[in-house]
Amino acid sequence: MKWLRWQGLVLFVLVMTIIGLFWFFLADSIVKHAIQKTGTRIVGAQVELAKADLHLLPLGITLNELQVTNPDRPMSNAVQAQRIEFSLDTLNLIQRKIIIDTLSLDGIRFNTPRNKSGAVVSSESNKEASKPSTENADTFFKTPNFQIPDVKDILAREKLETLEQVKLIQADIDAMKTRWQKRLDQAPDQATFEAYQSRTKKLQKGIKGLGGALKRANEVQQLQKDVDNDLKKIKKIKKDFERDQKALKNKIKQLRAVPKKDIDRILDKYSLSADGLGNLSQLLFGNKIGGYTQLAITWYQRLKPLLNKPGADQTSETPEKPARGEGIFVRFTETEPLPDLLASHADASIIIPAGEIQGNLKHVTTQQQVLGLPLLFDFSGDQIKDIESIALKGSLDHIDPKNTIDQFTATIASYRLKGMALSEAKNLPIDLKTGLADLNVAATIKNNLLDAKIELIMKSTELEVGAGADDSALHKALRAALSDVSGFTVTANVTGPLNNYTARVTSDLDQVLKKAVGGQVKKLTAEFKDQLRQGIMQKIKDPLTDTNGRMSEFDGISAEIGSRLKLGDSVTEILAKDLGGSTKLKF
Amino acid sequence: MLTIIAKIFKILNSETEPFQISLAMCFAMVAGLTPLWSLHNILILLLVLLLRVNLTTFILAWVGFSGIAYLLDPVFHSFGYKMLTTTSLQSLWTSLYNSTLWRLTNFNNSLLMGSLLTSIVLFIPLFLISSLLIKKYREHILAWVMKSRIMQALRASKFYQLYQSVSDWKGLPS
Repeated sequence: MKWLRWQGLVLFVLVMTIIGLFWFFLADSIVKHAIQKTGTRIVGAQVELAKADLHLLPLGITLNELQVTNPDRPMSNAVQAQRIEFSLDTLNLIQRKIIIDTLSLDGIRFNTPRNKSGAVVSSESNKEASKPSTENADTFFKTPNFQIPDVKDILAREKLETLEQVKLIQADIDAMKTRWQKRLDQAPDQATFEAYQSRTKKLQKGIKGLGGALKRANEVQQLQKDVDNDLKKIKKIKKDFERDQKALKNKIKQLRAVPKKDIDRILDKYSLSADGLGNLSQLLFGNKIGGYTQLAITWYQRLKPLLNKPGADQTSETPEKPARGEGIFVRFTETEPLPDLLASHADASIIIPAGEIQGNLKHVTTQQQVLGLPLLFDFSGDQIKDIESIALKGSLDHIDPKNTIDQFTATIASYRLKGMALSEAKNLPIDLKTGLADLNVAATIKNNLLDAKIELIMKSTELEVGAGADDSALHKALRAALSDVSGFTVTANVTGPLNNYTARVTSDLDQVLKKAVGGQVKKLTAEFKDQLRQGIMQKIKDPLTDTNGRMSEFDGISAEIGSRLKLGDSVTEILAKDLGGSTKLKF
Repeated sequence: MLTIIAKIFKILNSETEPFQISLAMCFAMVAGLTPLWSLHNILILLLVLLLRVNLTTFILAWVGFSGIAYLLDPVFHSFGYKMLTTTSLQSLWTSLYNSTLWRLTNFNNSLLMGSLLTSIVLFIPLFLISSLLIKKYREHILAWVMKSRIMQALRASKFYQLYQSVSDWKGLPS
């Protein structure tokens, strides 16, 4: 019997050819589907591709019209690429590694409109990432208040320290009163001293013989001793009472200064001080800077996980249960380690409304820890409408995932701005009619801590302040001052953790405004202060009267102590005068 | 038309020696238990078509073993993962991992490793046992089956007679 059937070999070749042809004709669709599916999963919104074209010799892929939906605005694309072309290293591809020597990205556009919504059911994490920081947003939308606040409303809302102090003092008075009443109850009282007087009268009666004289002398001495002891007690009580009374009086005296503290604090919170106007640069530019910063952070946080992915061939001590029929790819040490995805060099052209910016990216990979090199990018343009030149440079270093350093610098020279709304606040609408801007941005993100400095130098500016709802003298002064501004500088420092950063915006414009409206502000502030003082004094008037009334109750205690001392004194005087007792305790 | 179908059946049902049927079952076990789109399955397909094994048996057994593979998927994954992470085998796997050809085989996939090792281990025992069982079947049970009413009715059909004329099944009672 023959072992081989040679016609089977022909059939084998035939089957393999059919499979090969089938794959060849479906490859474009497979690549397109894989890119759309993976992209959508990563971005959290539709990623669409018009066409994918796989070339075999040399092995490469061309992608046409890639659209990445903005997850926050599903009717617009965050990024759109006209053409993406790259060749693949075949040998590395067999090892499941996508190694691209040169990647070409043509016609990159941002924020392009979409015909249909690109929303998908996003994950919680994406929602979290895209959620703007309301805390930060609040700081950007603060507007200076040009109206004197309603003092009644403020006093109804605010907790006055004066009132708190008055309550404390009243409580002290009540406690002291109770304490002293109790102490007086326990002290020698009028009855005690009347008893001493009775004993004195008895001793003043005649005596018989030497024995009687000696007995009376002893009794006088004993009486003197008792009276002295009780008088000592009363004296101590008087001393202590006076001390306590003095302390309370001091507290009441100090109370006079507390309303001023309340006034200062409330003024600081609600006032129209010239310092308060320093916030105007925050109002004019903080909103925009905050918006751009938040947008940049949102995208940075979305893309950051892609810089250091574990990869398809992941190793784990306790692997997750794989999907049925898939298993887990275990990774072993490679003699020549390469990341799963690497584009050594990428040329890109970005189309913005004003023209085209060209540049390159280096070391684009999803596994920087394997490659050991940071991602670098460098873009520039000098043939752009209304902009003299633009340059963007930076690096994303995630080689050590525990110690990441990302740097970014941007320089825009002589950017001609027209008709830009700086403030849309109803009480102060401000438009930049024309101006020439130089913008310098330098940002570093080190282990999720942002440190960015933004400098905007405006030249040849023409500002226009709208009438707005507020047509007060203050507003008029502000309008006049801004109309004269021909140039200014804005500096913003954005620092802190990415999820809780703070932006401090300063500008020499603030000084101009402060000077222009300082007089008006002072006048309004004085008026407000006066109203506030009157309001606070009115509010504490009754409690203070009540406190003084309670203090007067101590006069009775004082009089009682004086009366007891007087009684004791009289007994001592009789003892000294009529019975020859000691006078040393006389008061 | 019936002649063409009968000839296809003839090709499929040729090579009816017990060892040819057993070998087809063993190859079907490897192809069925392991993930379909694996490099080694091209080799299995080549062997099945090139060697004189029974193709009908291969196809039917492949379907059957694919079902078994679905049921045993978690077992194969655990076994494969354990093999791939065994310390004493790390140097072997590492050297294979650094070879392009071996990477193409996806040997570092836990499911493939588990199922392939299992099917290799069972290959010879299955071959011997199934050969023995086929012989026993033909000696003791086949004659009874051929006399059954269903077979009688089948053998009376025109298609069976046509098939019989092109068939070269051996050792079967006519």
